[in-house]
Amino acid sequence: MPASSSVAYEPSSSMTLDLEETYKDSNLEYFLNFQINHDKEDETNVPVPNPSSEPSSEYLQSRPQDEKKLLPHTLVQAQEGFIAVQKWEGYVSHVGKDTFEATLVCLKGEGPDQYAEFSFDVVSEDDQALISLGAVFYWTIGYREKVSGRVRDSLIRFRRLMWTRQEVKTFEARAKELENLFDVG
Amino acid sequence: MSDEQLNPPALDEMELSLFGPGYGESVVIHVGNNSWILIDSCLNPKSNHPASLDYLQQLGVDVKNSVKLIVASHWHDDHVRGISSIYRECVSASLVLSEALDKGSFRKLRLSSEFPDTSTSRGIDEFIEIFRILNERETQNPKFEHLQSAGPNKLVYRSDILLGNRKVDVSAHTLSPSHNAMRYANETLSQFLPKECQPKKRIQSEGPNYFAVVLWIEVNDHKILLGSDLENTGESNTGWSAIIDRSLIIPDKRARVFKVPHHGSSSGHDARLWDRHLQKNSLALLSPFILGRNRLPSEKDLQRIASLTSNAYITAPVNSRHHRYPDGVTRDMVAQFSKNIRNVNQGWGQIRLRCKILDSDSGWDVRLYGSAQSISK
Repeated sequence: MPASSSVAYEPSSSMTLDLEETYKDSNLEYFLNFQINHDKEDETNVPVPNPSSEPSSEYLQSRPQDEKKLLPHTLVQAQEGFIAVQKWEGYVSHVGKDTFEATLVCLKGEGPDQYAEFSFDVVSEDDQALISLGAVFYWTIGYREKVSGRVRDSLIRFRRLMWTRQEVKTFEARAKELENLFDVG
Repeated sequence: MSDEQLNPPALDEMELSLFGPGYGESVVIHVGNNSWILIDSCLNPKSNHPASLDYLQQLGVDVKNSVKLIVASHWHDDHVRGISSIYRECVSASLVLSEALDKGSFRKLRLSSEFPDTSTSRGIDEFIEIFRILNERETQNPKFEHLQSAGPNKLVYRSDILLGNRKVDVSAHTLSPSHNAMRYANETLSQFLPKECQPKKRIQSEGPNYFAVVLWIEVNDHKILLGSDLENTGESNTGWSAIIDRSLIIPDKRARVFKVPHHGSSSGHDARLWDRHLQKNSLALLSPFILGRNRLPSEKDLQRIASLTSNAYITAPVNSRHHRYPDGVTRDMVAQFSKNIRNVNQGWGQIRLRCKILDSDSGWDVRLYGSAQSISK
């Protein structure tokens, strides 16, 4: 997936968590389709739907049939159903050869800050490239409902938010403004 | 807290308390006559409130009028958690910061943290709030010196207090950061500024701490040196070398009480400081730093400190502890999907020192609470 693709349609942190909790919601299917369409944008030239409105009929007709193959691992899990038991926001503090370490802040209920080590293989292949110092991720542990029964599972989803050109331009303009305001005289 | 712990110091008593949970530290000093100085901030893991504010409120201190000075020695998370709440409550206090935190790259970092989904660090978030409060106060009361810049040989607090009919001189000087340190800090922080198509990340500071604010406090003949996290950098114009070789405040003075810098690490140690500026067998206080593979002080550090004084104390043990989950299911799941999960905070300790201000030869009464312990042999 090109870097710019993951930027434009990355759900916010709250959206990521909502996704896990509301997997049965019909909006989820729309969200997943929306991502897939964007991934395939260059190949199909289908107009990208606006996430705040209903997808167009043109989009619905042209969406690929093999959508599931394109889904990130965590989203497939979410589609199958996931009941969260505990959640943390983490940020990477050390990257080793096969493992990374992170500080964890509890997002569900009250809990102390923790520090943990994870193997790379508990992170989906899509997200492994994002493991770097300071990278922010969300870790949820819970149950996955399958046709065959309920299994314990863990979801680690790295945040893909990037600084956009517009944000950097706004930031630089504002920084210049502040510099003039404080440093005159 | 025990009843004894909740007894406030007498008006003619000086107190220094160091709080530390394992990740973080804060210092509270009573300079006499119900005047207080607060340095840095950490959260009490039990209440999740700033430790120093909790403590003063439990002693019955009117923080709005009695806290005279607040010092934020640097911006790292473990030294400033909750400091904006302290500043908001202590409305009469003047604030001391390194100039580097109000200029150049750090000012830009504060600005970048205000963009959506861009919490670069808790430390920077604290300063965003501090500067918001500062702007309000400067508008309301433009004549008061709300903010003072720290630097070498800078007097940041001076007061003459009357105890009975005797006058007591109280002063606080900052000894750092040096001008070169501020320049380096600016350069180091600039690497974290936003760049197009770069991920929005948390800042992970690495490398030696050039820019921490070291404080020298005198109350009559009682002298205290608070080392913050300042390290030796290998250069004469930054770190401890800049203070030892160039300070105009301490050339012929020796402190009795020493807050050991940088959690007792070897990089924060300078033998010349112990030789020239600390009394023999001085009281050495420190807090640990425990975050994953980073654990300070090391066993070797503890041995070194214990060899230099028989009065060394630490707020919490350095070994780390698993979190006790209330239910077995969560505990098993956490163990199944992660390795070596540990609580960041390992305990909660207070080291409290008190002495009689008017008695130059008065010894310090040392009390240890919670997980605080002696590290002397």
